[in-house]
Amino acid sequence: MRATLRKLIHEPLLHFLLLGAVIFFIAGRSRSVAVSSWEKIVVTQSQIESIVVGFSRTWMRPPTEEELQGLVDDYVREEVLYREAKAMGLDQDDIIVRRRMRQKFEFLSDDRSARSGPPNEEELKAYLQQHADKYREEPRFTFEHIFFNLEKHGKSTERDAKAVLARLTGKNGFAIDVEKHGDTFLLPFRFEKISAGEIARLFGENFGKQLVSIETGNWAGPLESNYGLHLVRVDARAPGTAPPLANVRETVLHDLLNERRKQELDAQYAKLRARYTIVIEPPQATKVAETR
Amino acid sequence: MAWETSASGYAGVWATENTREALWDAMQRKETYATTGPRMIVRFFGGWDFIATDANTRSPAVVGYQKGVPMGGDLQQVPAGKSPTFLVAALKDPIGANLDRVQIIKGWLDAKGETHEKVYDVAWSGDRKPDPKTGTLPVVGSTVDVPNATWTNTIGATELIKVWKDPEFDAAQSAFYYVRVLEIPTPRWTAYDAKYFGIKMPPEVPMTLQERAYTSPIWYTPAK
Repeated sequence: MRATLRKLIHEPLLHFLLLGAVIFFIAGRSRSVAVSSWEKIVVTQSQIESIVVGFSRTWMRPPTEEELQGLVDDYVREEVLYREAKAMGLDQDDIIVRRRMRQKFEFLSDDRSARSGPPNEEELKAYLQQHADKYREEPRFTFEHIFFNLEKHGKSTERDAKAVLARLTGKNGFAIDVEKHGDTFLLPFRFEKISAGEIARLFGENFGKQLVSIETGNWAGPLESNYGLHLVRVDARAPGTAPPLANVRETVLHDLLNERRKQELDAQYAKLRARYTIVIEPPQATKVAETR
Repeated sequence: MAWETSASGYAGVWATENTREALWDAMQRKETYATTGPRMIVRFFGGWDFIATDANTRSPAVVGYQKGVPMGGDLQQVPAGKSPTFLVAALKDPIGANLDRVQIIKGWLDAKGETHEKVYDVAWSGDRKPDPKTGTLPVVGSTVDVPNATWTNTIGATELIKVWKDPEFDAAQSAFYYVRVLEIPTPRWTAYDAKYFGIKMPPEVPMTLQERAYTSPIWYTPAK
């Protein structure tokens, strides 16, 4: 037993292992401190300049000596904490960092699509034609109406309205002073070129739908709005027309560029995606059984 | 506390056209009103010569501007022995609740420099009669179904319009008059939340409210 022990003490492999353990221990201890203390942070003149520019843009004046010192100190502080955070891997699996990286990456490809130059006249026209529905103007109506208040006429509201309508559409109807009929109403009695959307907003959806089917030029009705009954005479209507390019140029240009950008991003993504093998793990068998 | 707050808000101006300049002018004239959310239309004019039949004309605003000043305006040069008259009209939000009543709130400064306020019910829906003793108008009632967070427009009026004369006018006192329009009760947001999330609200939480509109005042200043 004793002999074996002595033999072991003289064994070079043991010396080697012990020495290795000591070095490993010392190196391991000092390493955790050393990582940051040995690093160097250099604040370059150009970084200081960009700090000054940023400040001036906000405050409309350059920073004072003291303010600049504070800004630089803060920059250094941020750099230190940034490096430490990165060393600790705090940027991993962070939803905000990921989103920001994706955004930056897509911005870079944006630059690429901008380089292909603005679309020409033909391309704009073609785009407008393809998406005519998107740019179509709302139908507009010019109409006059007579209001019948349900609270004033009660059950006879419809009868009263029809009686007035009969006179208006009868012989000499044109000579009747419209203003002598119907009830008080806070909205105007005549609307000029008002859009279908606006009509729906003022009188209710239902009224707008009924108005569409009324013949131009004659008194008709009564139509029901959210206020009561109305006799209506549509004097003019403009269908929803497709505008010429000149009227919507800015919007079309903007939309077309936007579409191109999207296509560019999709194409780029398709190319990048092809480099990856993607495995989506199926849900656990029991769960699948449950949902079925 | 957040649950105690009912209103968001919505402001209206009476502008001659929809341009930046016209809107600005209207605000400078103080021809403005606000609501707790619904898009009610409110007209308010003050003058010395409004008569009851002015409320029956087809377009009250025409006679309103002819005979008086709109909301935000000043009543000046009181003719001897006359009291101010007001033409007030309100139209409900086309997709909102009917109207319960229109009130005029008068505020004045007495000889001691103290302020007073009084609320007058001016126009209301249905054939309610104010109590002959107290002058209080009965409540409009409620159609609110709290558990389902719904209501019906079976009570209230779509439009209220009236000419009113200040019964207690004193030409020597500075005063203001503004209009308040009340809708019939509707479910409060707490009722909608309770239904949507299937929760029970504590008893102190109000579940209904009466949305309202209120105008800029019309001012009266005695001649010096």
